[in-house]
Amino acid sequence: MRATQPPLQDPEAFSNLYATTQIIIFRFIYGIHGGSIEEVEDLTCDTYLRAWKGRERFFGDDHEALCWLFTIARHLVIDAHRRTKTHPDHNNVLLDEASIDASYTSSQATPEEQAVSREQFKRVWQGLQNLPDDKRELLVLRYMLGWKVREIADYLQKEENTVSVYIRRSLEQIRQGWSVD
Amino acid sequence: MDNSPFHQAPEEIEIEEMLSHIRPQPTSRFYKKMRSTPWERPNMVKTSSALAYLKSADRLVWGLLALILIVGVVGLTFIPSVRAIARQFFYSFIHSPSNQIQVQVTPAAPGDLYNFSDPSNFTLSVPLAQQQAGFGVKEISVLPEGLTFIGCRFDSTYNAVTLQYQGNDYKLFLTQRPRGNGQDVFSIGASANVESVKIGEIQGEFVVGGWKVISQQPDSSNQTPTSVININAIWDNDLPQSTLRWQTSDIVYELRSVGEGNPSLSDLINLANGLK
Repeated sequence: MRATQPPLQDPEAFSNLYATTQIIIFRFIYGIHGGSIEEVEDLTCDTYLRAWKGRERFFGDDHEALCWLFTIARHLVIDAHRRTKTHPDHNNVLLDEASIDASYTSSQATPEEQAVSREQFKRVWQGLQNLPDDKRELLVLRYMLGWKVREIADYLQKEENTVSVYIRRSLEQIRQGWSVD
Repeated sequence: MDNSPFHQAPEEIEIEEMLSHIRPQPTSRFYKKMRSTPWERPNMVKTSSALAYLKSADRLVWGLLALILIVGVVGLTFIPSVRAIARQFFYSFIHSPSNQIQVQVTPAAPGDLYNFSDPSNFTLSVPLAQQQAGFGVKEISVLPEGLTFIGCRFDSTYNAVTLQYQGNDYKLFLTQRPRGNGQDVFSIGASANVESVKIGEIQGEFVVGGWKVISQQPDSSNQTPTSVININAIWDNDLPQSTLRWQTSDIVYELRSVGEGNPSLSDLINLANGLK
């Protein structure tokens, strides 16, 4: 049974949703879009503006609100790719170096090790962007957002085993792309 | 066959690890843009309403208050003794009413809360951090023997930059942020002992001890990306943590050392004096 009032109608409720999800949506878009930080920021902003406009049609809990934002974000990314026609030609995909943790490029590593790490990160990123949209989203949820397989399975309404298999296949596809390059 | 690391495909587990270490953060540009969104505007409307109310209030009373304020500002600006007294307020740590606090946090991803000091959270160089923060970031100009620079972290919520250093048996965190960006104070327990110190000509404060987490709900195994975590913490004067805090006209600085091998107060002051 639906609540009588849309839960996000109140600006404060929407503001809370924004505060608790903005970094998740930003990272999600960053992962599936593969563009510059500036483009990702604009798309994140557009996601919330579109959600704000449609908030009266949304009924659900916090988790459903997050999934709803994912859906909006995904559509905006697809539109953006259509406009710029940069996908699926990923030869020049960007990976902002500031987005990489220091564990691979820490000051304690030698310059050669750091160079190898950076290069590997770029190739992995390129491999991720070369994946079909659904597989890319799966890896973004699993690794960049840290979701458990069970949570992804619930979100995609698939069996856990199926999700695990898709993840393995996607990782393998990145590896295979490596040897082809 | 080329066996260079550039051409060898990493193992799946390495790819997994690399993917989980891509943790982008929005820049300050994003947060500026989001401040003018419709769901944030009601706060601005409230401010406008307050101004409208002021117009209809007794103008004489408000005029007098404004005069007192002007006199106060002049006093703070030109009279050294008044300025010295004011510093006691502006530069103070805030004592919590008790030695126990409860806070709520929403980590971006499970595990984010637990590894703040992990080098993987300090990925930025000083120039990159400076670029994101939009103000001049200072660093320890001459590193004493045994102290190594790890990296920087930018916190967009407070527009704060934290530099991490690793010493012998301790970690050092230098945080700097513009005044007025969020809380300008570091909350301390009711029983904490605050010592006034001088950093060059600037009045600063020094406190030993820190908040120790005693419980949290939910625990790390039950967190989801949107989990709100309730943390209960108590202030412990014996915790091996020292914090030195001071501020200039525009930037708030905190130099915090954590670990059994903590430097002495005079060492911390020397490091603070050597920031460039």
